[in-house]
Amino acid sequence: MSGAITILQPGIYTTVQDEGRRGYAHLGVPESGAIDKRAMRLGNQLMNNPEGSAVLEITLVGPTIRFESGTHFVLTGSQVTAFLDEVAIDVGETAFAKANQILSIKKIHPGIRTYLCIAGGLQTEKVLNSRSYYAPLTQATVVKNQQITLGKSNYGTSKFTKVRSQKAVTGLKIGVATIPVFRGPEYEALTTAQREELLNTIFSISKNWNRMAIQILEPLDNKLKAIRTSPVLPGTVQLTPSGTQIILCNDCQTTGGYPRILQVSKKGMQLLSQMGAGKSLKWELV
Amino acid sequence: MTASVPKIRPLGDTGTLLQWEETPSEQLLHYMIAVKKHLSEQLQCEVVHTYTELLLKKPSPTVTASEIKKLLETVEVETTVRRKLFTIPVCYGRGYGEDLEALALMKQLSVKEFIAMHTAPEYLIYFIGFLPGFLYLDGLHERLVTPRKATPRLKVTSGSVAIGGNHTGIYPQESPGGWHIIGRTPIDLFDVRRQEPSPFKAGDKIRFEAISITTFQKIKRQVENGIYNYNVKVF
Repeated sequence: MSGAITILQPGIYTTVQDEGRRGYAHLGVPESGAIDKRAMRLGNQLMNNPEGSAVLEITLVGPTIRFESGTHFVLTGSQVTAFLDEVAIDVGETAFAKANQILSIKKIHPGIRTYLCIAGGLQTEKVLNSRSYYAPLTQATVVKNQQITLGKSNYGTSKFTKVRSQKAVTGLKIGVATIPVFRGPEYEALTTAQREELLNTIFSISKNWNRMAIQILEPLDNKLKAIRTSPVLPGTVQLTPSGTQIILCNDCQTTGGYPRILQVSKKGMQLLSQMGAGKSLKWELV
Repeated sequence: MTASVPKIRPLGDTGTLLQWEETPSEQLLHYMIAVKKHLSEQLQCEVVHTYTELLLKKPSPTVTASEIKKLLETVEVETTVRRKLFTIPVCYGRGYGEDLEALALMKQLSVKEFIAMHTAPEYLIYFIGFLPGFLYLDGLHERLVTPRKATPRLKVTSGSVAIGGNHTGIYPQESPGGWHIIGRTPIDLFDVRRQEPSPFKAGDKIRFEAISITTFQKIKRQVENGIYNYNVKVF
């Protein structure tokens, strides 16, 4: 018999994520997948799950979950307040839940995303070769009373279970984060003054951030016009006619018509994965 | 046709862009489709194209601009490719296209003339982007070109046929949208349950055909029961 969990309360924005959808961008299908990839991968290693196993991506305030069978699990990503029944659980601490025990995941802080990785991985339906939630291809988020089946656990059968647990916490820089970026295809179209402003300003993340994109609060002075619709990727920084910088994230569309002024490096996207509203950043050309 | 050599540049550490300087054309599109096929086979990576750009997505082997240029020398445009012409049934106006009458009035056309102008062309599919299954179509009659609405609708029904700027398109899913809605098609543009979620390919063409509400409902039932067959001609 395979195990299962039941969602008693879904939390603010909880989704199933894996490595994402590859091979469908030419049909306009976004990549999706876990935003803090490092946290998801470490969690799967700690559980000795096959690479690419699906986990729960939890945003800001977590869900309440009942284990329907005895199961190992671990939390990774941002630090979070969480309890298994009444016992506090730390990020990076591999724990065992008995059948009917309840995991309450509360407030995430100082980051914005925590991952619940369960031995055997989540076995939700694969759509276009991935379990990652992306509406309308799948449901948008987990819902109350949803039951999720688990795969067969390999926990404790390999040396990988000895990954140091402190690493499971994704750190968050205090103060201004320096984000390594490359010049985007339309960077050259910016004026010298715009480039200076772009590279010397300390920007902050606005309230508009989600899995699709992060908007920067401080507008740039901008006269650049829209471009002919062109390919974009997670990490592409678009500049809208009103001067707003939009950093595209995993659920972004495959093409766009705003000038692509920067391209955030993979390392930069990892840094941004835990940064929510009000956090400060500075671009640094690689 | 031989296109010029594209500019090759990295897109950060996650992709490589090929950019052509030509104006978009059907000839350039056919060439880019051939390049896309060749590079995705040779480099085993995902390739996305738009009007004049082609993106190689990593993970792919680390490949240099000169290696790509070398691969471009061996691209062959197949002249015998069989492309498809799809006929898309559309119920214009009548509660399915709430902006049709206002738009016709603005263009000083009767609704009948407006529909005739929209159903006349064979539209070229340049690429699929924006939303899963959204077709970028070329060929809208100049007279029907209309700037997008100042305030987008929060909800546009899936299957809505619309005009925005010099584009016409079909919303494959329910989504927000700033285009003028002129009609609706009962057919499914994107269905993940199918082997090929979208039957359309870049280089294919579509034309719209005006249908009655009765026909709309009949086709809708066929689609729901999985027995609808696309009206396709090979050219």
